[in-house]
Amino acid sequence: MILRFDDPLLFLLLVGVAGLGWWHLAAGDRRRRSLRHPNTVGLAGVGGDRYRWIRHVVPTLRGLACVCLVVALARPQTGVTAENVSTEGIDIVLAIDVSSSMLAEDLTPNRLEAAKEVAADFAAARTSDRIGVVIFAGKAFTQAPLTLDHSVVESLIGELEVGMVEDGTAVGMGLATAVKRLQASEATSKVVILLTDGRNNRGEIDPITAADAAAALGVRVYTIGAGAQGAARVPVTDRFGNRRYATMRVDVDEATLRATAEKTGGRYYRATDRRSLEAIYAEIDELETIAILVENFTSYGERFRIPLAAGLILLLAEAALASTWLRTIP
Amino acid sequence: MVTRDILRQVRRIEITTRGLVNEVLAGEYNSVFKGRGMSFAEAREYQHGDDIRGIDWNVTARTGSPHVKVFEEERELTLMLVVDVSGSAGFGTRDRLKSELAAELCGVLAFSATRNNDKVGLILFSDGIEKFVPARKGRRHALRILRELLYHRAEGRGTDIEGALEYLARVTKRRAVVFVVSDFNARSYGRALSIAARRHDLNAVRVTDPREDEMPPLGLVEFEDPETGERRLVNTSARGFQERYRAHRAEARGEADRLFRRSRVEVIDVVTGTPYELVLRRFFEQRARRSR
Repeated sequence: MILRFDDPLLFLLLVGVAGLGWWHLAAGDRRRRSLRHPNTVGLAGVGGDRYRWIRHVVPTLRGLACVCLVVALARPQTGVTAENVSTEGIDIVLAIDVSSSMLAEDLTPNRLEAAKEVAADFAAARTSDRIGVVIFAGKAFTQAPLTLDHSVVESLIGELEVGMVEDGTAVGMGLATAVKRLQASEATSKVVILLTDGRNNRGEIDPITAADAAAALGVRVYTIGAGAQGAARVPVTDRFGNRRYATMRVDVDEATLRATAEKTGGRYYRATDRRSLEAIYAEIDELETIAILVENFTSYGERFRIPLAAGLILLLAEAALASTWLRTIP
Repeated sequence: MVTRDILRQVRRIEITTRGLVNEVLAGEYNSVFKGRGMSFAEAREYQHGDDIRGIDWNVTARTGSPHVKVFEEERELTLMLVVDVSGSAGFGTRDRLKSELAAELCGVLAFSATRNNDKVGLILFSDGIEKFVPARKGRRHALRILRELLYHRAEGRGTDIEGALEYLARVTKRRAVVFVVSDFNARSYGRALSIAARRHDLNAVRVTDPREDEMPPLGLVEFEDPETGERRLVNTSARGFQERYRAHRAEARGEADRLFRRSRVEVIDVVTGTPYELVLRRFFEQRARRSR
């Protein structure tokens, strides 16, 4: 809570109040009316001179009332500050490969789970950015449109699993879908983070064409190739329904991914394990940081009523006392 | 007060006091204040019934028939009015101020003296001597004294009875009848009073106002001392205030009374709002009885 005065210049009136107080003290006896009595000393002697202070009660009350009224005049206001973060933020589409090869366990627990968790954390951290999710395998579709509602994004990421789309790896389609989602965006910065573990083998659009489109729309594409160097263990289900592990060669089309990234001004990363994946997201997170304008808004409410009421009460008290208990003659 | 008002008031006092002067006090004034002594007037032939002690043997021897000395009372006496015009005199809650009452009383005394062909002088004092009018005879002089009493605006505010009495001693060569008119709200005048009383026929006229002796409960009252300018806020409704104040005043009055008695000074107590004629008459009657 902030206390401020809208017309602090009016506090100059306090100088006047102080002047009156000074005058009261300095002028002292001369100003007050009195009854002349030849035996004043005698009267005071037997009546006691204990009542000297009473002279100051009424002026003090009046002075305090004046101070309160001046404070009320100065328009005291209390404000509640609200931070308004100006989110001229980024639109980010996470394009995630959900092909069956994503089940490979070279990243813990497997590629997809690792990607999901890291992506969810990433989305959660980008509070001021719109996040969308596109998944692709044999085909591509939008899992989540661009939104600021990150809890929805997180839960939608959590629902991802292999088999949502027919198998295959349509990297180009995935990228194109992601770019399509950003087409109408008016954000200053448009980013696609594409994560895949294979090479484009499906779809009408190849990754380079999609990258051209992205470049034309001003979309930056970060590509992440997931998968250890060499071979990885992949769980497979054979025709008898048994589940077993097969060792598969990791075949990330690094050349295409790098070209894709470079065409659009992004970067290509290779994630060989969980930790490197996290590092990549962290790096992208840092790269895509833009100055966030934080504006402090304070909404003020008038609080003159309190000092005004106090002043009026003091004035009333003064008037009441001056005409009753503290009434002095003459 | 404008001069015209003063003169009108002088006139009023002269007229209203004339009755008192002529009828009531005339004889008594004469008999009360005796002259200094007896002065030889003449020698006349002895008559039957004359005191044989009064026979003037020198004249008897020279003339051959018995003669007696005839003395006359020395009636040439001086009346000095020593009047307090300090701040406390300008107080009065009844028909007039203490100073006005004092002026009227002095008028009565001055006219009485004039009527007896005595000289009247005036000393006005506050904390210093304000005015001195040497003693002279005549109605015009009495009127002047009255005018001074009413007209004079005091410069000082305090009361210095001692100083006034010392001044009196300096300006009066012979024994005089002196009236000190004051409220005797002062200190340390006892010694001067007894010295002056030894030399003169000293009388005190104590002028007071009822409000000086009693104060009704009025709540908080801001009082100002007219002599010192001192201010006090007094709660006149405080418990026991009335009694304490009355006791305080009685004590002060008793103190003054003791002082007067010790100095053998007669006191005339006049109070504003109360007719002073009676008091004055009683005073003269008592003195006459005592001197007889």
